[in-house]
Amino acid sequence: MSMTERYELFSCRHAKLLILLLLLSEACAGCLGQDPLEARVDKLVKSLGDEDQNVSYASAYALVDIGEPAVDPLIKALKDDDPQVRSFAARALGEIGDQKAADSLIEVLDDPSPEVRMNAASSLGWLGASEAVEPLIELLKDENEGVVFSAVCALGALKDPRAVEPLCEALNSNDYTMHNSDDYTMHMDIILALEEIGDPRAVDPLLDLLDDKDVGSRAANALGHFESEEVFGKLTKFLRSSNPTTRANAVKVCYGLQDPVSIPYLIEMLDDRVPEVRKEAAFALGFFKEPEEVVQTEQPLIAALGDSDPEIQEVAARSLGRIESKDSIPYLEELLQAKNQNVQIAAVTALGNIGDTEAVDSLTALLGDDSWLLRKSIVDSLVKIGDSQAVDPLISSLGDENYRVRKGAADGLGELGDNRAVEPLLKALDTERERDVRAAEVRALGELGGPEATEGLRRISKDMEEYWNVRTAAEELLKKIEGGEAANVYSTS
Amino acid sequence: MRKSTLVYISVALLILVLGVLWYYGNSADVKIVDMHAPPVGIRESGQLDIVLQNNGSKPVDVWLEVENAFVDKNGEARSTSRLIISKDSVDPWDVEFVSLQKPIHLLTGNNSISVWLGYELPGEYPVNVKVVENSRILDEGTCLVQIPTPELHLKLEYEMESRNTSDIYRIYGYLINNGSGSARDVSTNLTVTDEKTGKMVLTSSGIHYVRSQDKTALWTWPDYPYAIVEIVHGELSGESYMPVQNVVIGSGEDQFLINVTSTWQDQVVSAELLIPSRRRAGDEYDRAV
Repeated sequence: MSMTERYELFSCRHAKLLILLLLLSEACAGCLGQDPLEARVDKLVKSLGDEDQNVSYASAYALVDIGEPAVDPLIKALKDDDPQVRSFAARALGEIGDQKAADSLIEVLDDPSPEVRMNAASSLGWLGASEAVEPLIELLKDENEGVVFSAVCALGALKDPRAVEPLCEALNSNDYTMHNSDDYTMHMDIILALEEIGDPRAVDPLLDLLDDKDVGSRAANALGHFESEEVFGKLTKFLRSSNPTTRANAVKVCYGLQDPVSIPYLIEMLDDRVPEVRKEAAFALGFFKEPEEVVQTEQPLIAALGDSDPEIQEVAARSLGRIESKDSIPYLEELLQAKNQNVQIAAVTALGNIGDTEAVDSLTALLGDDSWLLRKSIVDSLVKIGDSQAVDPLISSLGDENYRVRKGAADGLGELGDNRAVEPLLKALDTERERDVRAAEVRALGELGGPEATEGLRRISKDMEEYWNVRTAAEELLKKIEGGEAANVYSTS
Repeated sequence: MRKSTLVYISVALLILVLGVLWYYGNSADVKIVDMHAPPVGIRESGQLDIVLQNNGSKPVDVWLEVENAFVDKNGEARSTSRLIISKDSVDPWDVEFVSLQKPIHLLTGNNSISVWLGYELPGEYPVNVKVVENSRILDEGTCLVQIPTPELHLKLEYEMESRNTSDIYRIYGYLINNGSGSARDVSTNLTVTDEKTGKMVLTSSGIHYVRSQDKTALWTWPDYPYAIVEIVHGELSGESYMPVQNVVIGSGEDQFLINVTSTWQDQVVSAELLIPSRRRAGDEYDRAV
């Protein structure tokens, strides 16, 4: 190459040409090498600040869908000038759940925008970022209630014992007197957080709330999830409180703890002068089902059937059903004649749970009652008892005026498996109009099987004017019967 | 232009062409091997099942671009936001929901993917699917999705009970769909006309939904009829018939024509019943049981 040529190569004209070529190849490389995901993430992050909320929310959801590849751009977006972008970014990072966002989220806990602080706090809770506990505790003093809510929930999710005392302080803080629904919700959230942490230091503050009409019940529920040895010793004082709200809530704690040591106290509470306390005690006693526990609770509960308050009679009846007390059958049968329908239904349900055939006649005798709720309960209990004496009353109930009773009877006849029911079921299908009842009758035929039932199912499976779910249930059952399998198909309407 | 300039340009272009060839030569080998969509009802969510075959020796990330997956009542196509992808190409039931905002990870071999579909009008829709990798279309296919039309008809029946000095006719009705497409927002009107005077004595309307090859009851409350006609021969029974709203009370000489008409898009069907039917036994109107 001559000197002239070399000169010309670096001359202005050639340099321009080279730059042009370089730019061209850069542009081509840019087009070909561009990562569409990266480009899409950038575009979506920018759209987080869109004025149209449909766009900003959709962008946030899309970024959450993208997941891990969006994390770094979202962390960068936490420093955006637009608070809306920072807020959505904080939220999306929590929903994506990548731990590497934790430090950046902690940094924005002092963001000037409350929405950003709120979303960052929630996200740190979702991430399970234990390093955020101290900054979140600081946030309990935030001026914005929404931020405090988020901090409380996040601390509950983190389950870190360091948060117990600050949360208890917040619970007792004068800022949260029970004057409005926000305060109430805040108390509930703090109680929930303390329950989630499960630290024994929370027991005393929670016990002190048992006298509260608004949150006492929630506190009792929370205490029921602690270990009994941490709670019960301190609880006895509250069981003997002069305040009926405290006593009722203390009984609720016993129900949650399920500690047999509480049985004598609960039995004593059955004689409390306040009905609400007696009711809670009768309810709690129904959950002690071990034989040595039933020996203690059965007679006091039977005695509670004679309480002057129908609500307590109802609860005692249900508890006797739960512990399957055979000794209570004659007393429950007596209660079938009670004037209060809820008491009657509770007695019927209890007799069904006990499952003794002794009760079939007294239950059947009430099938003519005006209340469909009572008739439905009787049908359910007869099915639970499962005695063949129940077949005829159930067949009669296929003609009941209420569809729920008819459906219950059809389901029950299928369950009892007595072939005497096939013909009545086919007859009922000739006139039954309600979709769900027809479906139950078809299922019962499938359970019972046999040539008559099969023929009926075949007819229904071909009827194009039949309800779709009834027709398809018949088809499925036929396939099973013809396939020699036990039919047990339940279709949904 | 000098010879040297031409040489530079040629070399640069050659490099560019080689680069492009290298780039395209390394693209993934993905093919659409099957697309299938069972008939979808109007305004129901359906799905287009696609089998993508990755013929490469390693997994590959591709984008899916779908056209005509959602079409509104004006015929305008909307974008599809999500699809279902089999997590494991061996087990099609082990699925996850995937956003179209990110690439689909295809394992080697066959991969089952489903795209949500939805249409507001019956017809045939060509759903176009493009498999894209880095802005390049690897494969493209079209599947015709059928949105069948419902076939509606109405059925009326009644039962009669004589109580004290009244005949009480309880009227039941069904909207039946024998077609393969469902029908939403079927407008149903009931009219009761006094045959003697020709005056309309009751009108009522409602909106019903009936799925394909199914029927829906016109009555609102279980165990209560759609309409009641009480023919009084002596004193009024005074019965309110609540919660039934469609109640007509007439005297011994009255006769009422019950007409029900249902309208769905361009389909109009109706059924009629004459109550009581005794003076026109075998009347063609009377389709009651």
